Amino acid sequence: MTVTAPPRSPSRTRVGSTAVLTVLLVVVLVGQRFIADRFQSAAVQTWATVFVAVCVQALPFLVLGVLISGAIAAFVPPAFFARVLPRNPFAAVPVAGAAGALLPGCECASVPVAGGLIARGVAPAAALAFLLSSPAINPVVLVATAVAFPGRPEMVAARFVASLGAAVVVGWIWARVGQAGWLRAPRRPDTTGLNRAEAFRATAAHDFLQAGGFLVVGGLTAATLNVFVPKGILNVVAQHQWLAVGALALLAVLLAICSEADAFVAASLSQFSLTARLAFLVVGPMVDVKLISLQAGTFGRGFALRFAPLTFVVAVACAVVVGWWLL
Amino acid sequence: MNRDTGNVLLILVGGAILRISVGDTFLRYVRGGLQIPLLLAGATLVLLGLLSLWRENPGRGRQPAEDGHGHAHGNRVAWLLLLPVFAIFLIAPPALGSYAADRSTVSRVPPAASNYPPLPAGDPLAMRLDEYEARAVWDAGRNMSDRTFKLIGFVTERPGGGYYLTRIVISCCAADATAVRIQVTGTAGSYRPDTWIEVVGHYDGLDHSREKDLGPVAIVRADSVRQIDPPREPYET
Repeated sequence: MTVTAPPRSPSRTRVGSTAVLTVLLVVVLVGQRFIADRFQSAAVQTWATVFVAVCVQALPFLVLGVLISGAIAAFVPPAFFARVLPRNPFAAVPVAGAAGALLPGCECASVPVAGGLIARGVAPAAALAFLLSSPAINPVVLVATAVAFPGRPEMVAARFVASLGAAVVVGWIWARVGQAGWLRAPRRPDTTGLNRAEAFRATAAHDFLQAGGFLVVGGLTAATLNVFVPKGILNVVAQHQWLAVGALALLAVLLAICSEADAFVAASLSQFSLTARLAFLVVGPMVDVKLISLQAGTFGRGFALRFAPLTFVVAVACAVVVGWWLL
Repeated sequence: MNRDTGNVLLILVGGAILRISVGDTFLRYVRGGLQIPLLLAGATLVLLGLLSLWRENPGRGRQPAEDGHGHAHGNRVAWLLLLPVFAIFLIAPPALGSYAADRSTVSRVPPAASNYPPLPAGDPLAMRLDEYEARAVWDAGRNMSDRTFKLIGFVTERPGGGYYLTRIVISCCAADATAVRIQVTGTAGSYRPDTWIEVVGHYDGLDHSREKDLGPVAIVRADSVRQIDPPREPYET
């Protein structure tokens, strides 16, 4: 049975997408019992629960993010950023990185906001530093880290220093070697001739649909890895100091846990060294399967292919250096 | 995807979020503190979709309803937003249970210092499983031996006989779930996995037989066990 056949490109088939949606809804409603019966096994149900959980948990932050990006597009004149940010990208990167502390929330909010900044003429390197630092160094996340590691304030300091450091270094590298063609300017709806409220509405709706689809891709990936990667293998690698750092950094990429919660997961990985857990906390908010998907959707696939590995390497390096220094 | 379809998607996603967050269903997926943000986000999306449908109506808006390229308003990937909507409305995935718990072997957070306050009054004393475990493991079960406890959880199988009283603990959403287990001895009876039960009994030391996978497991020697309805909040947060 083909109840959930993927919709074909509406533009090519000349069938209106509204018609496709209507037919799809009718088919799904009629076939509800059949579809629900396919989801009876415990493994599949667990997978579905984690998938819905990842999407539901991220949505409020994504909505916050697209509202802010819409507000930037509609109410903040481009001249504003030219005034507050240094003209030289190398000087703008640390300023933008530190400004990341102002956006409370997790990584899903920062991607559309960074897209909105670039569309408003902010230097990409600076916007990217903001994108990387904001989910890791904002007050909500730092407080969560302090709660998860009671009596270890150095863990909060190490997370702050390593995350901001990694964000600034990646920004500088991008300012130095990045080429304009690598980053696709975020697509924006045409808002010429619209008043401000209308431009805000159109931009927010557009950004949500764009980022939301990629959030679902990330949620599917994260749920699959979460349910089917055996956690027992962790105990094996925990014994080896260097292997442990790489393993936890990789785990952060695969699990795609929200940056407001990752400190609690890191705290529970008590068989690992503090430096390895710091790597988990620094990498997670910057590179994970959900974020790579969101970034590919916002800035293009070519961008994500270069940016994610670069960020991963820099983040691990920063975590190791700061861990050796502070922990 | 044309603008109308995109706007209907906004309404569907917002509606699905509202649907689970108006009642208790959202507690299967995220912690309780997210209810207000979810309600706001859902209402925002519904409002955004309705407003856009109205403003972009060809009769009155300045923009054409069909852009012909399929990506000026969202793009093809936006169709995927239907998946969580369908999952919520059709399948309504249940709270994590014994399957997820059996896969969770990660050891629990050791607290910084064992400065546990004295046990509160109550006979039997209702206690969360994670606190029972923490006091047993990290506070060496101090002052626990002469008290009666009331514990609530679901049943998971124990390899080698008997069962565990289990709860899932989440800190943000079901993706970061870990399990906390208490071994039930005494007049434990036998129950099928995922049955919710209430155990009244006494602290009876630690079980080290699965130390490698689970660490030490606290034991409760049951005086009585009875089956109960699942609690409103399935997870300890």
